[in-house]
Amino acid sequence: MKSVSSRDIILGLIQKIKQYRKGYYTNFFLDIPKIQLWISLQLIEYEEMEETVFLLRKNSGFINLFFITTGISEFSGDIDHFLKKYPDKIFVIDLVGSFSQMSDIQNMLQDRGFYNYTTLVRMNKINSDHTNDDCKLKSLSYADKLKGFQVFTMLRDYFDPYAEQLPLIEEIYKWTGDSRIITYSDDLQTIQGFLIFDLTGQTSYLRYWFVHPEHREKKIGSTLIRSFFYESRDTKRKLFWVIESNENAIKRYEHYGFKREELFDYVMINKNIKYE
Amino acid sequence: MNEKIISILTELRPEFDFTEPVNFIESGMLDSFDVFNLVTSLDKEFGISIDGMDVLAENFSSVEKIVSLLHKNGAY
Repeated sequence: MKSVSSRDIILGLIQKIKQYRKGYYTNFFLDIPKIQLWISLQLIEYEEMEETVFLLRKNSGFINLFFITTGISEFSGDIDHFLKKYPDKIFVIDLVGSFSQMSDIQNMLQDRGFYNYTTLVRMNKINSDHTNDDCKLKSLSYADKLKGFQVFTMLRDYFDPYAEQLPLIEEIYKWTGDSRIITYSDDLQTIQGFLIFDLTGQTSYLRYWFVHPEHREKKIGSTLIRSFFYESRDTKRKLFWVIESNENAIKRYEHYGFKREELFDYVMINKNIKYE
Repeated sequence: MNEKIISILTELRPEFDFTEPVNFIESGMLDSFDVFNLVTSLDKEFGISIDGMDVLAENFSSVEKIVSLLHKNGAY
């Protein structure tokens, strides 16, 4: 494996695959700020096979595996060789697309020892019809660095590391600086719930929405989501990903006007780890 | 060419108006996943292979930029 030391190395790898002019198939979508962060922290490496490039993003106890390839049949041979080189590593692959686009590659990966860990579905809300009221409650505030660190710890404690792409502390601190983390706290400033979002022009992304188990049924979640609607009042589209099997959560989001898209993230792991 | 590009963009993200004179990336109309799908569609539609070094979001921020990218990569 070789270290990715610059963005241009990745672009060069994409070009290597594209110049075959046989196809361009990948689960690696160029989010440049995120990739620059991974590069600066030396979290990303690559390995070149025949017609596939593998990008490996080191995570806690496992590796997020990305690929850039010319097509599924070429990929199947290359991943065989790749997995034989690293039999003990835990690889997590996210396949993003519609069911029909992803079924062949899912089957191919299952034949090579990958298991379906869980599936996320993207939901959207186009043009808000909710009242965009400003929730100026004492309990709500933007997280500062200290609260950001508490949020980081809660994400580690309560969210799924394989499925939910937990942020690095550097990303948390960036969000605190940009006022993208809203916390709901008691009088002692203990966080009872939080919401993390991102705004890009006409689109807002709801990244994480959490209420501590000891403080549920107190309308903290609805207060947080109303503050998100207020923050993203000028956007046309609101997006987020949710675990597809979490029917209660999906019903709650539908209550707030979100609709399911035909876009899925199939999380596959080369070990039989059960989603809980 | 412009009309074909707008049609591809609209098919990809029907909720947005791509005739607006805005930066598609900064205005949140296209994200990194959309850019990948756009590259695939443009390659197919124009019978080209957009250079790997050019698949940066900034090259897809307006219809004019996409036209210039397509010309650079041999589309007419």
